[in-house]
This record gives sequence, structure tokens and C-alpha cells, in this order.
Amino acid sequence: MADQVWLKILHSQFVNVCEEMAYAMMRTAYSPIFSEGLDFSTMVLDAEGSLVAMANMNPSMLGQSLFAGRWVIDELGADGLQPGDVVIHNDPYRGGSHMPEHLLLAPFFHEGELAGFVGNVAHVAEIGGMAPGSFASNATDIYQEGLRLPPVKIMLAGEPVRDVWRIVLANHRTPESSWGDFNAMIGSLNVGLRRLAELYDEHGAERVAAGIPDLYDYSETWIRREIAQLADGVYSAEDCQEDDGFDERPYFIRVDVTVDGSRMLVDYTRSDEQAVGPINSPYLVTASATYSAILFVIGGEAPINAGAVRAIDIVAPAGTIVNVRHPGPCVGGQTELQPRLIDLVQGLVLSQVTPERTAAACGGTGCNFLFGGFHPRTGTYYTHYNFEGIGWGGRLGSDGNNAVCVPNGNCQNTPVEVFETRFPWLHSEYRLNPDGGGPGRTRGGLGITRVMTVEAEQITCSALFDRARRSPWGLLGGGEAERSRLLVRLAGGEEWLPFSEAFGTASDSKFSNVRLHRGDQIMLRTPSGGGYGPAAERPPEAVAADVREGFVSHDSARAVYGVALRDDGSVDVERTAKLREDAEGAT
Amino acid sequence: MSWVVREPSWHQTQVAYCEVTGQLLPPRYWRFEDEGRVIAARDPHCEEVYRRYLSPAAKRERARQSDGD
Repeated sequence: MADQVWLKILHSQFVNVCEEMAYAMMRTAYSPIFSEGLDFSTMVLDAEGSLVAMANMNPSMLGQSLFAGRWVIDELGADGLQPGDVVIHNDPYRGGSHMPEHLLLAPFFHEGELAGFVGNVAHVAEIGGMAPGSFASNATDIYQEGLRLPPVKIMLAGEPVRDVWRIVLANHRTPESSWGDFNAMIGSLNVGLRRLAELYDEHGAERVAAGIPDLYDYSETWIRREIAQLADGVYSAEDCQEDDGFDERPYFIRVDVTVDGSRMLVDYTRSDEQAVGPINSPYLVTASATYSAILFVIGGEAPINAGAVRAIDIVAPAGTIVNVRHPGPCVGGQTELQPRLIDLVQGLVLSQVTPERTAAACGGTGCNFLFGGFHPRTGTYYTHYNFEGIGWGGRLGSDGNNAVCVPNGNCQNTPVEVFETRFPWLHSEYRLNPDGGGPGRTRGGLGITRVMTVEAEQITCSALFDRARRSPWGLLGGGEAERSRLLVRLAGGEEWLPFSEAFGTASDSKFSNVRLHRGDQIMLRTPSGGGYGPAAERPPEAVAADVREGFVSHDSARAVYGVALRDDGSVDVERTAKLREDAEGAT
Repeated sequence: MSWVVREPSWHQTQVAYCEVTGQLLPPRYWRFEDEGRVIAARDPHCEEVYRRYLSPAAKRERARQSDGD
């Protein structure tokens, strides 16, 4: 048996390499989606491209970290790589997630031998295509979503491959930003290569190389032990994307999870065919979501590496909404289908077998709002990809988090100060949504409302939201949460209107290239999280605290939770008991 | 059951998928047969998944449907 202390040290050192790479990217990037949003991930791979370690950044990129390196090696071969090379890649059909997310991979050589790779995946804010921000809700094929890059070298022996750079930058609307962000990614790889060299020098290549498979085995054993504690059986559930921006119909994801001793099969075969619009996911997004969901529930402190997922098989047939075939569009798969898949597996499926470790649905949408135009102050073209905080679902012993990005994203919002400095918008409101959280023994977290006014002659905007028609669900008797809304108030007008009414878009939550003008206002209202367990079982003192904090209104405390409060905000114990007794009698 | 190597020209851009799991099919892939059907898979582990779970489930489903008829 491998020395556990040594494995812990080795794992921590690999993770530290990844984290230092992440900080280098954050501090040197040009665009707020890197420096503020942290929409990226960093990794170390072994010489075969298997995942050794990743930073605790963006779990939605777990699939790329696990598969993309291996698939790049399959395609390019490791023989043609030399020190100083960097491969770039964003093709969803061969190991990418959605096209804005680019994988950069550099081989690590130690004493002349290929010993592994360092890599990072990051969301580049603008990569061309039919809509500024490269998040076109009206795309019907991949070619409308931006510039697609199969694995190609962007650096060769330490020198930029200028022909590739020129093609890439000529196809992006904000090439200066892309230039800065790609160089931040390359700088991060260089930091990783230096730190890996130090690690190998410190411990010796032989000892490190021998420790990596032991780390895989350690993680595999951990996860198999957890799976073996679940009751064998087949557990099924379904959920849906409410529309694809074209057809007024839901697209269903159906999953059958087989627990078989110490292994699991997650089978999506019964899911709907791929959609016309860009809500499909490629295989790696489905894999990210599935592994993340299972690891959230049973992963504990197991090191995340190639061994952690060996006991879990995934079946996602090509041509379905969970594995899009060329040339289907898929930019929304990463932000919309991924959180839906995570909640489906962790919540609706695993709650059947281990309810104490699962959660109600989160808001379940990235609330993607993209815009671009010429800045009136500088005259330069800008674009921005804004994702928004939502509420997370309640879980055993804890309310859902308020106003945080989807659980698969682990990203941060762009602060208002940065937002208004970089882009011509003026905020008038940015707050939590009281009463939005699904009621429950533990309450769903709250979504937010953002109201802002256009301060330029024109801004072109696009949106890709979900959960506008179907509420995030509660679990084990918990209640549904508030849905998302996206509204506009035209300059001089008084009414808030859905975009279909104001601009004739086919969908209120998914549209591209709407032109707003000076004085127009938009309101982004994001969904909250579902409740966990019956609301009548929420401790009255917790409800009183919610009212004091402004999370729950006085009226809802009484009508939804059956809690009566005195004028000073304290719980009226007798009246509360009566209210709850009456409510129980009524049911 | 055998490994198969395909060698697409460098200018061909299309990709193929494992017929069991949906993963990308590598240049060297695993091929096996079931009831006369040739199945292209990523590796032998995919065949094991197919024979242990997918094929029996499909047979049960076909039997259920014929019982219904």
C-alpha cells in the first residue's frame, strides 16, 4: 500500500501548482470574465493526458480536464510535441465544452522526457459569430457561434505561430482583449511548467511518476467505497430545458442511474433528440455535470483526478440533447443544460437513495446576458459576457446560498464599479429578491434583481436564460422557487415589457442582437432555489430571522410558514402553534 | 472483437463517436459484434458496459414491448 502521507503531500503540491497557475491568469488577464468572474480552470495531466490534479476553480470544466488532454493526444500524437509548444483547442465535437471556452495545453518535459502536461480552460469573452459576446441564442449551427479551432499549435518551441494568431484575432470582435487573455493563459502555463519542474527536482522524477497512479488508485478506492454504501438498484428521473429559443416545447433529459456494487452507470439514452437552438451539450459537458453531481454528493475530500471517476460510466448517445452531433449549436449547453443535469442527478436521482446528502434545485441558469457596442467615452468597441447570481436549493441543515453563480460555475459576479467603469450602463438597483426562495425546512436561496440604464447611443444585447416558465423544484416536501424574468422599459415609457412584446423576439428568455438605445432600461430578475423539506417544519426562530434580514416578508412568514410574529419581530409562540395546527388540519 | 485503426486524411474534419458511450472515437478503436451488428467502441471497457448493462436492458425492453403487443 502506498504511503498515505506521501500521497497527501504529492496531491497538495500538484493542486498548489494548479492554484498558482490560476492566480497568474486572474492577475494578468484583460477581460473581467477572467479577472473578476474567474470563469476558468487549471490542471496538471500525466504523459497520457489523464488528469492528475486541478485547481478548485470552475467545476463545469471537469469534463475537459478529464478527457480533452487525452483526446488532443489521440488527434495530434504526443510525438510531435516539443518544449515550448502550446496547443489551443475549442471544438465541442472533439473535446471542447462550448466554443468560448478555450483549452490551452503545454507539454512538460523533464530531463528530455515527456512527463506530463499543464493546461488551462477559460471562457474567452468574444470569439466572433453572429452576436457580440458569442452567445447567440438564435444560432442553429456551430458556425454561427464563433471561430471553431481544432487542436492546433499556437506556440511552437516558445515562439508564437503568427499565422494561427492572425486568423484567430481577425475573427474576434475585440482582438486586443483576446490577445491579452490568451497571453494570460500562456503565462499561467509557464508558471505551471516552472513549478512542476521544481516539484520533480525536489522529489525525483521516478518517485513522482510512481506516485501518480497511486493517487488515481486512492481516489478510485475512496469513490468505490462510497458507491458501495448505496443500495443497489436503478433510479430514474427527468427534467427539462423549457425551450430552445425556437420551438415552444420543452426538451427532456431522462436518466437511469444503476448502482451496482461499487460501480455506477449513468445512462441518458431516453433523453430527447438534440434541439434546433443552442441548448444542447457535447459529451464533455454532460460528463462534467454527471461527475460533479455525484462527487458533490459522495466525493467528500477525495482527490479529484482520473481515478475518481473510474467507477462511473456514462452513456450519452450522439444526436441527443446530451451529446450534440455536428453541426448542432451548443453554446448554452455549458451554462443551461449543465446545471439542469447536476440537479437532476444530485437531487432527483440521488435523493432516492441518499436524501440526506442532496439538495433541492438551484436557479439552474447562467442568466447569460451579452452586449457590445462602441463606448461613447473611448470610441472603442467592447463586449461583455455577464452571468448572474441565482439562489441555490435548500439542503439538510442549511438554507440555499443567496445570489451566487450556478453550482457548476463557482464564478463571481462583476462588481457594479467595474461594470460601470468598463461599459456604458448605469445601475439603479442591485438587490436580493425577498420571498423568492422556495419555502422549506431549509429555505431556498434568493435570486437577485439588477436594473440598469443604457448610457450610449446603442447597445446590442443577447440573452440566454432558462427557468422562466418552470420553477426550480423543491425536494422532499419543499416548495418551488421564483422563476427568472428579463424585462425592458423603453426610454420615456412607463411599463416593463417582456422582450417578445417590446421587440418581437420568439422567446422572452433566449434572443440575440436586440438593439437598445440611450435611456432604455433592463431588469434582470434571476431565479431562486427550491426548498428542502416541509415549510411547516422550519423552526419559527429561523423564519423570524428571515423576516429581520428581509429574505421573507411578514405576510409570507404567516401564510407560507405558519409563523406569527409580534410587532417587535419576535415569534408569537401560541399563535404560531395555532396557525400550524390549523394548517395541518386543513391538509 | 479487435482493435481497428482508421487513418483519415489530415484535411478531413469529421469526427466519429463511440456507439456505446457517445465518447469521441479515437483513431485506434475497439470493434465488436452483438447479434450480427458491428459496434464501434472506444475501448474494451465500453464492450463490457454494453454487455453487462445496455444489451440486457434493450432485450428486456424488447420483450416488454412484444408482451404488450
